[in-house]
Order: sequence, then C-alpha cells, then structure tokens
Amino acid sequence: MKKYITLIILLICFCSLAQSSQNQSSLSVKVTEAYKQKAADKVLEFYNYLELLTNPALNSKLKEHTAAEALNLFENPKTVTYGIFSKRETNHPTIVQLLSDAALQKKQFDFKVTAITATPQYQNKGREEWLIVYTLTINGKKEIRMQQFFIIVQEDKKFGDSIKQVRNTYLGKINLL
Amino acid sequence: MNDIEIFYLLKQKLLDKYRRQYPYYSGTIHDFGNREIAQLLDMVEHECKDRVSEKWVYTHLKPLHNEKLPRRDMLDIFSRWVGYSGWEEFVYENNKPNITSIEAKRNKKGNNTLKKTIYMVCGLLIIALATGIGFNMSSGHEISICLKDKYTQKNIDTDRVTVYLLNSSGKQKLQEQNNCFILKSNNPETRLLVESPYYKTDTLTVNFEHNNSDSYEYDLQPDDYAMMLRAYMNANIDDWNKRKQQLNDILDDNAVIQEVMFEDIGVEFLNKQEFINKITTPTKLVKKMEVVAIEYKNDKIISLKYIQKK
Repeated sequence: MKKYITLIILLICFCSLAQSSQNQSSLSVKVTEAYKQKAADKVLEFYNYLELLTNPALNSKLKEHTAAEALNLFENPKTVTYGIFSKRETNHPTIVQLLSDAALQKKQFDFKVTAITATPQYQNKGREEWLIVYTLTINGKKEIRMQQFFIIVQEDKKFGDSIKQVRNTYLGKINLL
Repeated sequence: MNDIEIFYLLKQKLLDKYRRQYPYYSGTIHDFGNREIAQLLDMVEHECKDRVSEKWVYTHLKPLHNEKLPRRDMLDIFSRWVGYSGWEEFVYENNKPNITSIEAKRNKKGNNTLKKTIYMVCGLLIIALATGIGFNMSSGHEISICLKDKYTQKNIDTDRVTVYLLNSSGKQKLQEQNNCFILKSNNPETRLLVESPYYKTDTLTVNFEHNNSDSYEYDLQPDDYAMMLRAYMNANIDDWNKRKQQLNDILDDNAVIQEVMFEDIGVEFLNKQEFINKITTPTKLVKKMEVVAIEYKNDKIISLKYIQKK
C-alpha cells in the first residue's frame, strides 16, 4: 500500500513540475517575441529621427530636440555607426557625428527599413545583446544591408521620487554587411 | 457635367475635407504649398492606405485648368478619400442633378393630364413621407453625446471636434448643444465618426437598447502626432512648448509610462520627461501609439500603458 501511495505522490510531483516548466518556457517565448518586435521598432524609430533631422525646414531648436531623442536610443554616445551621409564607404562616424551630419543636409532623406530580423547573441546576468540585421533603402534608390546591436539592460531608473528596477533597451554599433 | 468638370468638383471636395482638419487654411487647392501637399497626402495615405506622389498633386491638383483627366487609379483614391467607393460612384452621384434637370425639361413637353397625374402622385408621396417622418420621430431616440479628453478627463469643446452620423446614404453632421452633440436616430444601433485636428479619428457605436440614459460619454485620445507634426512643419515653437506644458501638467511627477506587448509584457519604461520628449517628436511610431490603460492619482496620470499599432 505504502508503495502505491509513494508512487502516486511522485507522479503528482512530476506532473506539477512538468506543468510549471511548460508555463515558464511559453512565457519566455512570448517575452523573446516581444523584444524581437521592440528591437525592430527601435531601429525604425532611429531612422524616423534621422529623416526628421534631414528636413531643411526644421529650425535649430527642433533639430536639437530631435537629435537628443535619437541619441537617447543609444547606450553610448561614442557608438560607431555607418556614414550614411558620406560618399566614402569607409566612413564610420560616431552616433553624435552622424546626427550632426544629418542636421546639415540640404534635402530631406527618405529611409525604409525592410527584411529585419533580431536574434539574441549574448546573455549575462542583467544584460542581453542581440543582433539586428536589416536592409536600409535610402531615398528609394540605394540599398544597403546592415547589422546593428540591440541591448537589453536591467537597471535602476528614476520615476520622480522613486527608483525602480526596469529593463531598458538601447541600440548599439552599426556595421555594413 | 463633363468629366473634367466633375474632376474640378472632386478638387473642391478635397479642399473641403482638408479644411475640416486644417480650418485655418484660407487658400484654394491651387495655392497649396509644400506643407499643405504633405499634410493632404498624409491624410489620404492614413485613411486610404494608398500613397500619392507630390508630383501628381503638382501636375493634376494644383493647376487651375486641366486639359485631360488624370489616371483612373488616382481618381479612385481621392474619390474614396472624400467618401465614395471610387471615381465611378463619384461621377454617378455628382451627375444626378443633371439627370433630374434633363428629365424636368423633357416633362415640359408632355401634356397637361400627365402633369396633373405627376402632381397628384408627388402630393401623395409628400403626405406619405410626412406621415412616416412624424411617426418615426415619435418612436425615435435622442441622446446627447459628450466627449472627454482621455488624458485630462475634461470635456472637449465641441468646436474642436466634428461628429458625423454614419448611415447608408453617407454621413451627416451632428448638431451641438450645451457643449455636447445631439444624436437623433430611429435605429437601435448607430455608428458615429469623430474627426478632429487635435484628437485621433474614432468611430463609436451607440446602442440605444443597452443604454437607457439620455446622455453618452466617450473618451478621445489626443493626436499628439498630428499636433506635433503641424508644430514641426510650421516651425511653431509656441504650439510645441504649449503642448509640452499641457503634458507636463497632466502627468504626475512619479508617473510610470509603459509600452506593452501581447499579454501586458512591458518592453519600454519611460518616466514623465522621457514620455513628453518622445511624444512631442512627430515620428511614424508616435503616430501609431495607442493608449490602452490610464490610472489617475489626484486628477493626474500616475500610470499609462500604450501599445505600438502595426
């Protein structure tokens, strides 16, 4: 009799463990899917800002605001990017330099981002690095394939008087493929 | 009317609709500059999901005289934008008065007996119609629709919004009374279209069977993208600062703003200042933001969740 009771208890434990691990994995799949989408949106947001910055009709105050918003997308102001506004393919300005080049353009640029994928690359406690690959079409003519880092960091953030630990997302280095 | 004349009428209807969004624009469609064209194309793209080039507007809409009719697919897009199924329906509907007048002229040639019969039939029809209207009015519904700002929870002035009753024959503007709109309808369920330069276009359904009260309240989400785009394109720093100040006033200093995906997964956490800076920059993503939940503390927003529509 004891044998049967032990067997039933073990069976119940096994089933509940299996159930819990299944829940955990389906949740993490959802979170991963959400961050994949977020990575793509972040890249789109960056090129939206660049487009706005190239608008010659914008005054300096609005350009300054737009550039600051674009810079906030990046983890580090020294992040290396690709010289979209340069004729030399070897030009790799920092994000600050790229934004400043955008603001100096005499014609508004049009950017389209397509064929975008985001894949987790590296995971540490409180930090994840992903690689985003996409095609950038400039003014409907030039097409370039790029890769860019996307970073998810667990950090403290100030919300008025309180500090909460949240996951922040940033863009990183841009490379030409 | 020939096709070119109907096209001129379409231009006028485009201008009328454009002015509903930008009532301060006093010029004609022929005076459209870069800014107006961009705004028009943006509205058309938003509603019809079709893009028209600036060049097309310069070639076909701006000129005072058109020698030939533009491409049919473009005419279809603009006809749809002004409320028709396409160019064919636009031509048919706007040629109707001509058909009536032609018929009227033909009738003149008819004999007196025919005239009398027509008058009698018309008289009977009018009596039947009047009786029908009278009967329907007594069994119809009437309620007032009051609109509120989703962020401030304050009533929206009716001069900032236009509300249309949608029915099979098109749309009909609702009258205002005491800062609300008066809806009269004979149907148990009615659909309304709300348009405003300051709030996102919305449709609402009023179900009279489930709503016993004589007033109905509805929240509208401010269209920060449209407001900021106007401020940006007009380099209007005053309007831009004013909106920043308004947002500053309605958000609590400790507010937490979250972008959520799927089943409430938070993928972006913004504090008050970050959120204000973000939504006062007119990017395409701001255009697609939709607020899904708001919590208030002492009449200020303490928590806001939004999704990024695709």
